[in-house]
Amino acid sequence: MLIARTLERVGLRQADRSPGARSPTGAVTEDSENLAVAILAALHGGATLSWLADDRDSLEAALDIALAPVMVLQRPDAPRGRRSD
Amino acid sequence: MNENSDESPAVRLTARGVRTRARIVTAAAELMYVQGIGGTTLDDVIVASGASKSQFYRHFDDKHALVRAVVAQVGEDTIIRETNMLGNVSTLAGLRRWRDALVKANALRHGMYGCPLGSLANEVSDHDALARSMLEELFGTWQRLLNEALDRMKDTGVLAESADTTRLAVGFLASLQGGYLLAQTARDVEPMATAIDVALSHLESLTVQSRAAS
Repeated sequence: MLIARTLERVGLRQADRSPGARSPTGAVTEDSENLAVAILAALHGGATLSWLADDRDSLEAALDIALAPVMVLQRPDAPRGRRSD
Repeated sequence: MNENSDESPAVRLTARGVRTRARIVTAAAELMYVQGIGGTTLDDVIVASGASKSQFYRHFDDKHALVRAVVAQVGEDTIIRETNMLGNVSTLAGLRRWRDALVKANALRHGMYGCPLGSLANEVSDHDALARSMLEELFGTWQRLLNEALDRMKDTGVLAESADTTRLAVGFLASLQGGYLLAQTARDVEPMATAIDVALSHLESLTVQSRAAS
């Protein structure tokens, strides 16, 4: 829940910045719920694998993948480029 | 077999011993899957396996030894299953079928008990370095199977050349394991499906086709 709301704030800020974007609130909300689940899963699963290997790489790799959609949002050019295609 | 050979009784005893041991390990694996390692006593295992106490202690010194035998058995089953499911995967559709099979299998139990191997990993004691290193190796093998499937996707031109398949394999395994845990908490397989789907859509964004379109 906390993660989902945080993602919405990030997503909505991105949408506000993006010129010509149709109100993405619905889509962002739906995505943020799914992404929050994925991030939580990556945290849990990554922590288990990192604990087994005694190495933080697994947790980092897991979070990198789960956070990838958020990182795309943070790239100001990415959504614009996709929309104009 | 050979009636007057000195070896005969020993061979028979060994064969029976092997069967008894396997029965104990199977019973222990089932109990630990449902009740957890902590919630399973040696008495539970002895009763469930139908072995006598002396038979039990002939094969296992203590609970640590039993847990290691369970890790080895569950690990072997998992790796055989994953080798069958991932061994020929070289497309996104193939990886989705792998996802569907795992989600469907877990949905049968409403996700209640999680991944048999993952549950052991989450419960094995910090003090049992041997069990931990066995689990590390098993998860390493599982990760390698995923890595090889992703490499085949790269070889066939599905995945972009720049995709880091080693990190992706770790990420997939972590999403899967975390998904199992969330499904267990929710008693619903949905979070597990969602976690793998998000990883799959990330993978989709790394396909040559998607790269060309963006």
